[in-house]
Amino acid sequence: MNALAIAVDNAPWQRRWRRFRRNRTALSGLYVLVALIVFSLAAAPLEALLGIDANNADLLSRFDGRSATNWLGHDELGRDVLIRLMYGGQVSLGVGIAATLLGAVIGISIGLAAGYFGGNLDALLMRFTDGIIALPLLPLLIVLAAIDLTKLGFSADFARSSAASFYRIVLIIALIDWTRIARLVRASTLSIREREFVLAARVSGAGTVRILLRSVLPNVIAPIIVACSQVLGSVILFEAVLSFLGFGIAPPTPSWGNMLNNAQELVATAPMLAIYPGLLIFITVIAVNFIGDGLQDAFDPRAE
Amino acid sequence: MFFLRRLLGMAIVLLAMSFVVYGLIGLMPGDPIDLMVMSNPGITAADADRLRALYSLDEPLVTRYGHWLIAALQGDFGFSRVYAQPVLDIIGPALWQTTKLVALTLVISSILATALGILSALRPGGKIDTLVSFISFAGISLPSFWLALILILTFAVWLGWLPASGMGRPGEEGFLGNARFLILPVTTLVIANIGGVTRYARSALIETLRMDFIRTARAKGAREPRVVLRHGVPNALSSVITVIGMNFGTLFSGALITETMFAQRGLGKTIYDAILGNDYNLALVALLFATFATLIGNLLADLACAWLDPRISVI
Amino acid sequence: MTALLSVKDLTISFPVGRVNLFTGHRRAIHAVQDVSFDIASGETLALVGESGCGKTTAGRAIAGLYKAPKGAISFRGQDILDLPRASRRTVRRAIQMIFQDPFSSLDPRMTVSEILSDPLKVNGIGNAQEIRERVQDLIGQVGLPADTLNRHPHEFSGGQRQRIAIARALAPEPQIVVADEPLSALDVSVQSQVLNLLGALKRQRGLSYLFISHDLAAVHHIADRVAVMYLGRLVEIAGRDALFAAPRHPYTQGLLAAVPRIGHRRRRRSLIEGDLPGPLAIPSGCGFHPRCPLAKDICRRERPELKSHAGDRAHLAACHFAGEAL
Repeated sequence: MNALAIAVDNAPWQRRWRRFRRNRTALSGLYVLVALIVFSLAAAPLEALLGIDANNADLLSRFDGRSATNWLGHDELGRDVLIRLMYGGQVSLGVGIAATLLGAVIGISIGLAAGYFGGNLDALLMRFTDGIIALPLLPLLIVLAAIDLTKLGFSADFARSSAASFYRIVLIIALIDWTRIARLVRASTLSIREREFVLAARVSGAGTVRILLRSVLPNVIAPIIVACSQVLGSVILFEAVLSFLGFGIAPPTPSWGNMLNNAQELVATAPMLAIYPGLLIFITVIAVNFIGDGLQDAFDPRAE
Repeated sequence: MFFLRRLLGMAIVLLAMSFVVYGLIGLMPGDPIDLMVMSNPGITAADADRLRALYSLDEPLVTRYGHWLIAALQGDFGFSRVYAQPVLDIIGPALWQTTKLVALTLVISSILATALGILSALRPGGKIDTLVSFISFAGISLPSFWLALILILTFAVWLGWLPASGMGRPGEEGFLGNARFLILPVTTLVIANIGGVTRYARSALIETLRMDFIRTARAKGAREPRVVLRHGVPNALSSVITVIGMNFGTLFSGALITETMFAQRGLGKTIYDAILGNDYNLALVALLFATFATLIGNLLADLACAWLDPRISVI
Repeated sequence: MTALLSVKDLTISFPVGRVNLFTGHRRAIHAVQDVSFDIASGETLALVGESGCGKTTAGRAIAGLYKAPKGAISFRGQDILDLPRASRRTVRRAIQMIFQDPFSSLDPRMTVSEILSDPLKVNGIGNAQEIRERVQDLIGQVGLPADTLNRHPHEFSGGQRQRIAIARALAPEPQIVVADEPLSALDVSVQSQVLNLLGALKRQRGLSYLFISHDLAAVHHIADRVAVMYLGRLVEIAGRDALFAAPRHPYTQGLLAAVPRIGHRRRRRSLIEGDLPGPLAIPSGCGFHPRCPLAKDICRRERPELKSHAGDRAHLAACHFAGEAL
């Protein structure tokens, strides 16, 4: 009885995992993503191992080919391409995950508020969400990214630092990527709030915040996970294009997007410089999208 | 009623958008008076203050926005700092260029996506379905600026078949000659756009084919291709149009990327260049026109849907 | 005996449909209209009626689940609809609720121990040690073993779950428990066990119940008084024996006639015919007239008042002909 009880306890998650595992594309997506994370995190160790400094511009070795220590050759400033790709992966994946999570916090708050309180607040928030969805987001992101941080009272040093460009891009992408999460959380909250265990918590005297965090939120985790996995891919693409256009991660810090920055002019002379980062973005995003699709099927309530 | 509410909603979105962007522009690098002082060393600090007052830059944001809005509602959108022309003179041709790009993309990708969707919905889980699904995922996952780069590399640099950038000169090579300049941008945008629509078309069609009236048609003895083409497709098409309508914003974002990559003076590139060149009035107005065009696109898609689906009433 | 809980002219409406663009108002359905009753300390009042008659809505309003219903609800003479924020929780603690469906009223993600200790924590009752002891005490009182506490609700049967729900309702030491159809989701075999448990707890703790049910056999077993609702209004209220022996409202008579009883060879033919009218099309006059075998002209025109007829002053009925012999 006891062993059975424990087995039953995690049953929904085990069933979901089993369904996810059966989806071969989703599973290979997961493997690829894990491999990419390992690849990115190996940057510093590999750099030490090979005894090179990827940020060190060496104009004498511009566009030099591969060698024993520079496995993918040098870029237009003579820096090691492979190590920069690895560091760029940390930045691109980091921005992607951070902006998705921050967007999730915004989306969850708005979705919970709209779904739980309903009425005019719900109507207002959902109109706002629909409005954001309809907008041409890239030019809006460019406008947001072009803001001069010194005019907001930050020091000029901070405004120019690459840390600032990291936080800024995370923040502005989060400002627009929460919409899908908000809609899903709202829909789930609408169905949860009339469930009797939520009413029971209200009768027992629990306050609104406690009910939202303890009774509603845990029961909408599944759709949130699915939505996040689906948003992550587009967030990584937004980071890439903004950095590419010069409004994202500020050089010399590499991201897969800004490594393509100069690639357009150099595409005829050094095509591989243009191919590697884009290929990595493509592989990452397609892996993430496969995972998201697999999660959606695995978490589909109709399959439960 | 519905129509009026939509128009009202659009007006509110545009108003909110203009105010927010107007406010954000105040936070952009470079002050217009400073820029003038830089280009003309003869201007003293006192002159600068007088200029500030002349352009009412010393007034609070809301007042300045109010002035701008009143002028804009009377059709006066101001001048571009870089081009020294009324912004509308710049936006007009750019809007036309973007419309060509987006319209071509819409037509081609709708047809392709519907066809691919039908192919995969005929046998869900089959080989064709798997292939189409992979293509769709690839389309969604490709960074479109990189795709443009690869296309330039392949067709312009290596093969030399197509121009890498620009948009030809009017009248010089005729319409067909100029159309060559659109091939790569439209291809990029179609590939970037088609994945999402195909997936939507597929699931809408599968959903439709499960409905009772389709079973009835089958039971009557209609053959499968006929069932799909006659009954399934028109029903799925309205869903496809809905998703295309919702995607207008995304499509415009894509247009900004391709126009920038292929150096075509469309609305997207105009916004991008204007922000890079501190030409903020142009950026603001161009962004508002882009938003307006996007909202109109949404509305047209809804109208088309209502026209296709008698259950939805618009008026 | 002074009333522990007093409900006066309780009216609850829900807006339906769209806002009217001219008036800014929405149409409303009145789920509960002008309902008044008292419950004394230690008394069980049963609220009966068909589904959709508003009895659950009334119960939920008393448990505080609706914002600002019209009318008045007072507990020990204190108006509880208009409490200052600070004292709301302490007063509200005294009224707890048991829900109809024990499969949805227990949070699937919590253990039983969490479910039972939550109301204690929320109300600031006791430290960690005291809460643990009380939770063990509670689970014993509803007749479940202590090892129940570490498990999740889905490991239990309906009857066991309803016992857990009862323990949760008892946790904040209430004086009144609103029991909303607590038996209807259970197997017949466990209904009587849960009913006996409710009876035993009432005796031990001196509880009052508002027992909402359409099961007249259970009502006869547990209730001291019975109130009958039809289309959102009270149509009859009386002591249990008086109501079961001599119902005055034709609707009550019909309800009682429809109950199958052991010993009677055949179910008597139902006196009520036709369907319940929709909530947006409530009939004029007496709401029951379209289905009433006694309906006369006056029933279509005038709504009968809820008042006592002949003799028993605690027996109220809302029928123009309640005074006449049937």
